[in-house]
Amino acid sequence: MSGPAAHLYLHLPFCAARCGYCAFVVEVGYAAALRAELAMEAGRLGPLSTVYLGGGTPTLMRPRRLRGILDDLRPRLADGAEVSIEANPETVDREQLRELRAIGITRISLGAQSFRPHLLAGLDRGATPDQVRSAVACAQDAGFASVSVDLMFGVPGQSPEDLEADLAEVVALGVDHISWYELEIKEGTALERMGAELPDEDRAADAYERVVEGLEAAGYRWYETANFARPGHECRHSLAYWSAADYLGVGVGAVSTVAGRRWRNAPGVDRYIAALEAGSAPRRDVEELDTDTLRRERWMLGLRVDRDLDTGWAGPPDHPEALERLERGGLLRRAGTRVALTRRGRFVQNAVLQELMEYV
Amino acid sequence: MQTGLEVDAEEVGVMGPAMTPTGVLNAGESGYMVTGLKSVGDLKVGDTLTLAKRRAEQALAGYREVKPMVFCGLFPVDSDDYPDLRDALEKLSLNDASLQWEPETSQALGFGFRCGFLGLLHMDIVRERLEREYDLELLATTPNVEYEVTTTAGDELEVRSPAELPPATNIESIREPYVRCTVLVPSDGVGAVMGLCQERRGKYVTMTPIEQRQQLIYDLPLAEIVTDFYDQLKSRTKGYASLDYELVGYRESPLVKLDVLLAGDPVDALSMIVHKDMAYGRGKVLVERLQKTIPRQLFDVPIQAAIGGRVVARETVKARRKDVLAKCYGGDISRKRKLLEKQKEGKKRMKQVGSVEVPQEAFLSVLTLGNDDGKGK
Repeated sequence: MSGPAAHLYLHLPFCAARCGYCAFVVEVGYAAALRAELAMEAGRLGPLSTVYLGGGTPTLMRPRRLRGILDDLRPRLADGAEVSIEANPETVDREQLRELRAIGITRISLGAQSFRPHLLAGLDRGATPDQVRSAVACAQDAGFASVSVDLMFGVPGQSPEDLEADLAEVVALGVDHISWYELEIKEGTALERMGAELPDEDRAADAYERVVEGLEAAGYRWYETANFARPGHECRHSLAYWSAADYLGVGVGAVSTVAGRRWRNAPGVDRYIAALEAGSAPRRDVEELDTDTLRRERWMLGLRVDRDLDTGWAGPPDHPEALERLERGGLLRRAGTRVALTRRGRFVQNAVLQELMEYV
Repeated sequence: MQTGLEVDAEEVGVMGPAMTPTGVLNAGESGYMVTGLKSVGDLKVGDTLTLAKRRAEQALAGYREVKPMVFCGLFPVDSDDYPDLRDALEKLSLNDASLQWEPETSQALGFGFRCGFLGLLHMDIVRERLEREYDLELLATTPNVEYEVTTTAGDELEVRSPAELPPATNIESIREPYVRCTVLVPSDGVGAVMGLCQERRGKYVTMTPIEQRQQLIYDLPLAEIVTDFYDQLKSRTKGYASLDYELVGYRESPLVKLDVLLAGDPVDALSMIVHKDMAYGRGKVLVERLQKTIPRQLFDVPIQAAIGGRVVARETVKARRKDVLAKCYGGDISRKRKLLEKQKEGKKRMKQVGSVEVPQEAFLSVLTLGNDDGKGK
């Protein structure tokens, strides 16, 4: 488990405007500080098998700066490394996408959220459906190894017909990977302040089941709770999180987990930059993860993916007797030391976890 | 005099309002007396005090042995608090001799105490004091009265909880306590009061005008007023009605035990003794209430109301269909774990009854059952 981290997350907190559901820290201008922190933490890194540039909207950063960061990283990349970037469709054009590919980005994830104009407006998304379609097409032309699109269900005002339209549209685009999230209303977001109401459990379940069914029928594998991929296009960086691997996060607000220790860089871009300019580490909240916490996290993460969880690796559940009850109820499968959720179980994984583990 | 207890008066005096020793208290005076008594349980409220050497010939009239009329089970929400609850009841008994209690075990609620109270107000006060003064979180079962049961074998039983009721086939007859209720209400509230009393199996006795108001007298089964009769009386008369009641004796009634089954298992804390004619309606309302209060779980939870093994009402709490954390990446892991911990916290306030998690409101929903069965408000 310990040893150098093979997964790096870089937080690029830039957005042209804040979307209705966003709780990320956002500000402009801090590439130098980021590179300074990366240099400071380099000792924790081994050859990198995955890098993820997340935000915010990383593509709002000037290409010259982005190139500088990637130049720093290039010597650290393992062969065949996956380098992902997040982008908002309205912030990228054909030229820029080619450039991203040229500086070594292999995978792009476009935040579409929906193709329905009235839903995009409700989420304060700047892109029009046409911009989303065009961004996807340009990304596919630019030659990324994988193109992914983010979509949402459970959006206030989203009818079953809206959902069908989004499904048909994304399938027609033929992307390699789709992340389809249920909308969460987080504290401090515009949606929360507006008092937006989420659909009830049955309606949300209808939508979720329809998403899974529709994408599977189109040849995508439901490889994680909210993620679907054509064979070979799973996001390896995310898979690292779900297999509880160590990862280093660099940038304001970024989280790292290395050798049983988790820390989060404090929010506040100004203070982050100031600390690094002064040659010191940014202020961090540190959390020591004891063996029980790690074991419970391995279950929480491991049951998200459609692969078996090896209890030899994850450790035993707190309530082993629940395994049989869940198996009898058709929520879980067992074979030797391996455990996996059934299809029905995957839809109610929190409740299953509560039966198995003692999240005190 | 009733207890035959003799004590030394170490000091006597009057309260003025501080204790002021006077050395002597004459017949008819009020004051205090300091004795070596350790337990208030040795004294009876309303008894006559006399001199051991020059005894009064007979005690003052009007003394009655206090007898609890209303019973309910008190269970700690956290079963670890059981010893604390026992200590609290012991301490409370020191200055409240009328409170009776004995240990009780419920399959659903674990260890607790069945407590007897003089009336509803007394019950509320005791519960409130236990919670406030002793910092306990309590779950109170539906209050009930004491029934007299004659079995087919000819035995006489006193039944203080639905669980003690013998099977229907062994019961010859059941008698329940009746009270005479005197309700004072402005004339425009008479209809509402009569309606309420009729719903609660009341028998009209008299109505007398007193100035602008009417005095209504009804005989009602005590069981019908121990739940939410008073709340209903107040809410239906804009708060103007007043209630007074006194026991008038036991009368035979066709009563049955209504059982509630969750996922096929009877839950003793939810069962109740009801009038035969009302059993069906109550059962239906009860399962509907429970269906609304019990949250969805991993599996379907059938809720049934049954009388003597015959199911009279049924509802199902459908199994959960979706319970996931939408996004979970490197930056979210601690937050997601904390969400699970928070969910767990919510579960702690529920009682595990067999395979079903039951929130406390479910037990409370039985209390207000009278509200909307039958014609309701």
